Amino acid sequence: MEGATFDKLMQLLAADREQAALEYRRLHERLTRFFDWNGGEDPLALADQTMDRIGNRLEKNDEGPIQNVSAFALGVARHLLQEDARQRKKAAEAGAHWTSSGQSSSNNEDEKERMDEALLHCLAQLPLDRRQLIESYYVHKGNKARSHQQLAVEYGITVNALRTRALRVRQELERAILQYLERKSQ
Amino acid sequence: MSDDSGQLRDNFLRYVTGGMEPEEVLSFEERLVGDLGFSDAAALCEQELIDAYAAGELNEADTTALQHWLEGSPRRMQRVQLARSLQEIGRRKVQRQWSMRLVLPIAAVIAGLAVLTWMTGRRFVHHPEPASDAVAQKGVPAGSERPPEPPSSPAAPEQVILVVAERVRGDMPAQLVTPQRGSAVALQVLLPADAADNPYRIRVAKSEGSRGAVLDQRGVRPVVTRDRLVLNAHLPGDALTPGSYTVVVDGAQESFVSRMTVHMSSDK
Repeated sequence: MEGATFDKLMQLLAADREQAALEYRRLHERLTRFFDWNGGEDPLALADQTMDRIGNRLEKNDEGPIQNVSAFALGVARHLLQEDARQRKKAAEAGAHWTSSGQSSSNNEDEKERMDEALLHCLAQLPLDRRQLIESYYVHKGNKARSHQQLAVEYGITVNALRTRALRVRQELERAILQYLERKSQ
Repeated sequence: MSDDSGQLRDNFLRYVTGGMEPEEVLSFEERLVGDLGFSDAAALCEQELIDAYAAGELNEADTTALQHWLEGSPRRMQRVQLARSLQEIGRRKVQRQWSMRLVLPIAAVIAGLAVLTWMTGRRFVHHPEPASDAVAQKGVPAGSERPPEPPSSPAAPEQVILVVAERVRGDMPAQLVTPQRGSAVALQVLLPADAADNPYRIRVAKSEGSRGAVLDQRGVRPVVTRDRLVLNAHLPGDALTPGSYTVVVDGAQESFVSRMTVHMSSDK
């Protein structure tokens, strides 16, 4: 996306530049989830493409201004999802290598070992407070809901806030593990 | 559409498994992309469904429905594997916490009894043994003179022997241990601080001679005692006789060794 187009998109998202950047990241994240939950081949790339197309639309401006960025983004995303599905179908019919897990040849034991090793490594790299939180989150002495309730009390937060924090740490851990596994496979 | 977490969970499950009507899908997606809070809540539902699936906590219908969706993405299957690994870490933490609650007081009692027995052990001095070798004899031929039997006494409690295992690096000093003759022994092997927490094989054998191991136990899981990993094993009475012993601990990735010299506490 060119600079001027990007500026237009920022202005559309919020008047304040910093707020606009935050809105951009949040919209990108929601789009990424949308593509992930709907089987997009590469959710991050599809979210990038969506934002690019929004920028292109702003540049042309031949259909009037965009009233609701999220609603417009959803329309673009649905379209991209259909394109993505068609491309993958074509690739499969052409006999190209299908990289979905259904064709994965690694056995479960190997996968478990790789994951365990990556997890231990990346857990050790996490800041102590986050490591303790995610480890404690998965310690259940009996009832899981009660364990989470007790943990939330220890942290002085609501259960919902605890779940959200655990999710953020979990996402950070997943990214670290993916990078670790990619480095190891090189 | 209600945002109640249970309702959202059910709706999310129906959404990703194709169980929603088209109008519902449109409405759900508008909120997913347009509402940050709703999107975050849906992401939480996804994570908790993956955790529940990995733990086998879902009912059969939900498991089957979700399995198809999960297996359609290598990323999601990795997340399932990650959930299982985190749950395993959680289970082991709970086991260790329970072990510490049980092991520490029991170890304290055993150690106390061992010290008490050692301090008062000389009250139960037996008839003098002819020679230390004779005591080690087993299977004395019938009709031959047997050493006099010691007077009957109450069975001595198990004695605790603690040895420190180290990485093999040449000559190592031997620890002197003085178990009471005839007492069963609770052998505790203290592993290095960075030892892996996995099952070990413990072997105890005399350093010289070829009489075989007095102990060879596999699959011994360490327990945490004061933040250190300790292996516990048990030797019956009279398993240890005076002499030098080597204690070898074999794990999946490395081995540790300890040496001990046994000197019976009732020997002169």
